Amino acid sequence: MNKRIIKFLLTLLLFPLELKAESADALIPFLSQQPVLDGRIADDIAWKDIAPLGPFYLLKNGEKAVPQTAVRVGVWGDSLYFGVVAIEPEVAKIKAKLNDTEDLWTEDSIEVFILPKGSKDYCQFVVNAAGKRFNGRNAGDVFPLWDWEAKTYKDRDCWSVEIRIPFLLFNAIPSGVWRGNICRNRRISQESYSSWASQQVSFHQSGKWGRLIFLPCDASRPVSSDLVGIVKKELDSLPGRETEGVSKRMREKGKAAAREYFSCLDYLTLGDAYALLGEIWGFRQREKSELEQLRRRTAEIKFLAFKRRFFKERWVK
Amino acid sequence: MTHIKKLAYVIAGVFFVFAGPGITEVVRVFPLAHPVTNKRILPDTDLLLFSSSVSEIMVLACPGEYEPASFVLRTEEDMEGVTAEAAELEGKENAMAPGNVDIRVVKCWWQDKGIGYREETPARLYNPTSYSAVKTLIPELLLHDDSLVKVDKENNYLKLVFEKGSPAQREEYVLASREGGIDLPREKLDRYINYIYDSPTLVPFNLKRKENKQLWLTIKIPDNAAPGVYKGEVRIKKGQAVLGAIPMKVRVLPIKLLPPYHVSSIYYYMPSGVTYQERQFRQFRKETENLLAHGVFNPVFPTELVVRDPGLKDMEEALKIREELGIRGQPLFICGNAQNLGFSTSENSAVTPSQLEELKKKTRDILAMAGKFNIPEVYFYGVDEAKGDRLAAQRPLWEAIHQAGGKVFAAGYISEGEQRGNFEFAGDIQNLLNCAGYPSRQEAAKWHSAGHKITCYANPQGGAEVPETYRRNFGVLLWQYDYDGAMTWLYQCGHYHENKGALNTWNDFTPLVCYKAANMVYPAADGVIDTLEWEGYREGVDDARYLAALVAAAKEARESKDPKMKDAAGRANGFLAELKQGDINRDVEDMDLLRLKMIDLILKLKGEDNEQENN
Repeated sequence: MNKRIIKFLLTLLLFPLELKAESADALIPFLSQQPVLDGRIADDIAWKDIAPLGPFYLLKNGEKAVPQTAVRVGVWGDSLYFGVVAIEPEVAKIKAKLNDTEDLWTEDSIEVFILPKGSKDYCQFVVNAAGKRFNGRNAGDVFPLWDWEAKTYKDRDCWSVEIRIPFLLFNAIPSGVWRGNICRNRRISQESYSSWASQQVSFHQSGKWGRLIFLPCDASRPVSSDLVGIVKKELDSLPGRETEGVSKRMREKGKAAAREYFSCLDYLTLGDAYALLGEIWGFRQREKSELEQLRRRTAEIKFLAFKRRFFKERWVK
Repeated sequence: MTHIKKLAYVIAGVFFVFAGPGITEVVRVFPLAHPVTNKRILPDTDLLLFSSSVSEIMVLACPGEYEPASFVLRTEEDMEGVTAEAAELEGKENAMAPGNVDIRVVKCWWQDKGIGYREETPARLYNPTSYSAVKTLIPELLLHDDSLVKVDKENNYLKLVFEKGSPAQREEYVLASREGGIDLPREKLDRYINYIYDSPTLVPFNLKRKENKQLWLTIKIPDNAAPGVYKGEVRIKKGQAVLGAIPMKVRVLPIKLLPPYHVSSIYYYMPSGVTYQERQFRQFRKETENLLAHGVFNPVFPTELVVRDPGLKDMEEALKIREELGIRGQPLFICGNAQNLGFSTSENSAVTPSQLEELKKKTRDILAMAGKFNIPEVYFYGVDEAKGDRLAAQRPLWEAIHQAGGKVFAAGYISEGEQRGNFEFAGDIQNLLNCAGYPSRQEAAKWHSAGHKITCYANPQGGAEVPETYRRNFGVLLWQYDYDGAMTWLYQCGHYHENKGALNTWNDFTPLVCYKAANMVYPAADGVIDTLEWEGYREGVDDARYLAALVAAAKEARESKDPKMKDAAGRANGFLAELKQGDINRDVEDMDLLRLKMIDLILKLKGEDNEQENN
C-alpha cells in the first residue's frame, strides 16, 4: 500500500475526531446533589454520574494534549459548577504563587470562558493550582473579584479544582445554548496550553468555543431553599408598582398582599424558580417600560405555585 | 431532523416538545395558566407573552361544576390529522371517564373589531360592541370540527351540510363575512342555520407551520364525584401515534356551590320559527340546557310564548321544558318584542280602560299558568330603555299588572347629573330595574330602599370577544355593588329579528342598528356553538357561586363554638369586608387567584386541609 493511500485512510480515520474537536458540545445536566466545594472530585457523590468532557487539545496544532484534563459541568441551584481534574505526573513542580486578580494564566491554572445566550460579552474565570482567582470580561477588561468560588486539591498524580459560578453574574438562567471553553495552562518543564474546544491562536477565540447545551431540567423537581431565598431577594429588589389614582392606603394593602403572597414561594418548583429569575434578570437588561410585562409574568409564576398548594406539592427542601 | 436540532427544540425554554416514535414532526405545547383572558391568541401571537412554567393542567372544581383549561399547539412543519384526547382521570378510589373532558378548537375568524376593545377591563362603563366596520381576526368560536368555518386572508366561509345523514349528503361553503349579509339567496337564508352542524366530539385538525392552534378543554365534574385528586393526561395524537401527553390533575373540592345571586338571567328570544319550524321547541330545550350549563339559571322567558297563543299552550310547553331541566321555584321574567304584553303606550296616547281590563285578564291568565308550575312571581317587561315621559306613560299599564298580581321590570338608567333615571319616574312602581352600564352602589341602595331589585346589563352587551370582562362584570362585581343579579342583552341575536338578525347572525358585518352581532353563542341546526366569551361569562357566575359559598360558610363558622372555626370565620369575614368595599376591576388583577383565595378560605372554614394529598 503506498504512502498516499495510507495517509488518505488515516485522514478518514482522524476526520471524525477533528470534526468533534471543531464542534465540541457539552450537554450540561442539572445535578441531583450539590457538590461539596473542596476541590476533590473523585469522592464527591454529586459528580459520580456525570460524564467528563474531553479530551483536551493542544493550542495551535490541535493534537491531543498529554497529560490530559477532564472536566465535569453541571447545574445546582443558582450556580454553574465545574469539576476539573488535571492529570499531572509532576505535581511537585506545579507553579502557583501569584495572588487573586494577578496574571494567573502564567502559572498552572484552569481557565473557564463563558458566553451566555444572547450576550455579546464573555466572562473569563481563572483559578491557579493554589486556588487563587482572577476574573475578567472580554479580552483585557479586568475587574475586582466577583462573587464566585473555587477550591483546589492536589493529589499524587493530578490536581483538581471545583468552581461555582452563580448565574446572577451572567444575568441569565441555565437554558438554551451558550458558548464557552475550559482551558489549561501547564507550566511544568515544557509549557503547554490545552483546551476542551480546540483553539488555534488563543483561548479568547470565542468563535471556536464549544456549545454549552443545558439539558432541560425536570421543571417539577424540588428547589433548594437557597434558590428560593435568591428569588425572594430578587423580587424584593424590583421597583414597586405605581398605579395612577391608587391611594396610599391601597398601596399599603398591596404591599401586605405581596408579603402574604411570598409564602407561595415555598411551593416553587425548580422550573418556577428559574423562570422567575430569568424574567427578572432579563428585565434588568431591557427597557424599564417592560416592567409591567415582568410583573405579570412573575405574578403568573407565583399564581401557579399557589395553585400547586391545593395538590399538596410543597417543594422547598 | 438531526439529534442536535431536536435537542435544540427540547431546550427552547419551558415548552414541551413531543416527538413520537417514527414521527419526525415536533409539536410544541403551551399550556395556559389563565385560560379566561382578554388577551387574544392569534396564529402569529408571540407565545412568550403567555408562556410560563406551566407544565401540566391543574384544575380545581366542585361537583357539578364546569371548569376550563387550555393549551396551544405549534409546529415547525405543516401537520395534518392531529387530534387530542383525554385519558381517564384516576382518583384514589374512583375515576372520571374521559367523556368528562370535552376538547374543542378555538377558531380565529374575521369579526368586526368593535369600538374600544382593550385587554384590561376598566372600572367604568365598558361596552365595546358598537360596530366599527373594521375586520379583525379574533379567536372566538369553540368547535369540535375545525372545518366548520374556513378562514382565508380576508373572509370566513361557513360549511353547510345538506341532507345530512342521507346518501345524498353534500357540503357547501358559503361566504359569511361580506358586508350586507351571508352570500345566499333569500329563500335559502331563511333556513341556512338548519344546515350548520358541529361534530359532537373533536375531529382531527391540521396544524400550519409556525402557527398557533389553541385548544379548549371543558372539564365537567360529575355531580356525585368524590372529593380528591384525580390524575390523567391529555394525549396529542396523529393517527394512532401518540405525539405526547400533557399531565392533567383535577382536584374535586368538598364544596357545594350555591346560586350566584337572586337573578341569574339574560335576554333571550325564542328560536326562530321561520328557521326551526317544527323543531322550535327542541332547539329551545337545547338552548335552555346551554344557558343552565353556563350559569344562567333563569333566562328571560320570551313574550312570544305568551302572546301568540291565547290558550297559552306554547307557554305551557316551554315552562314544562324549563321545569324538566331544573328551573324551579324562581320568578318568571317575561320579555320580548311585545313589551307590556303588546299594550302599547306613549306619552301622546292614553291607554283606554278596556285595554287595561284586557291587560289585567291576560296577566291573570299568565299567572294562572305560571302557578301550575309553582312559579312564585311573574315579572312583565315594560318599554325597553324608556326615559322621561315615555317611561312615566306606562304607569297605568304597570298599575294594572300589579292589580292583577304581576310585577314589572324594564331596562333603564340611573340618575346622572341633570338626567333623571328610572327611579325618579317609577321607583315606587317598577319592581326591578335592569340597569344599564357600570353598577352603582347608590342606585342599588335606592331600589332596595323601595323594596325593589336591580340587575345589570350592557356592561357590556353580548357578543364582545372579551371573555375576562364578562367574568369580571357579571360575577363578583355585582356582589360588590349590591346588585341582585345579571341580565345582559343578549344570548344570541339570531332569534331577535327574524328579518335581519336570524338571517345574518353568523355574519358580524351586518350590524343590528349600530352594534356587532350580540352573540354569546351561535345557533346551529341542533343546538348552539359556544364562544370564548360565553365560557368567560360562566366563570364569572362561578366566581359568584364560590363567593356565595364562602359567605355561607363564614356565617356558619361564626356561630360555631370551636375557637379554630371562629378564628377562620374572622379571617374570612375580614377578606369579605375588604372585597366588598372594593372594585375587582380596580383592585384585583388576577381573577383566578381571587378564586383560589376563596377556595382556600372555604376549606379552612370547613376544617379541611387545603393541601390535598396526592394519590
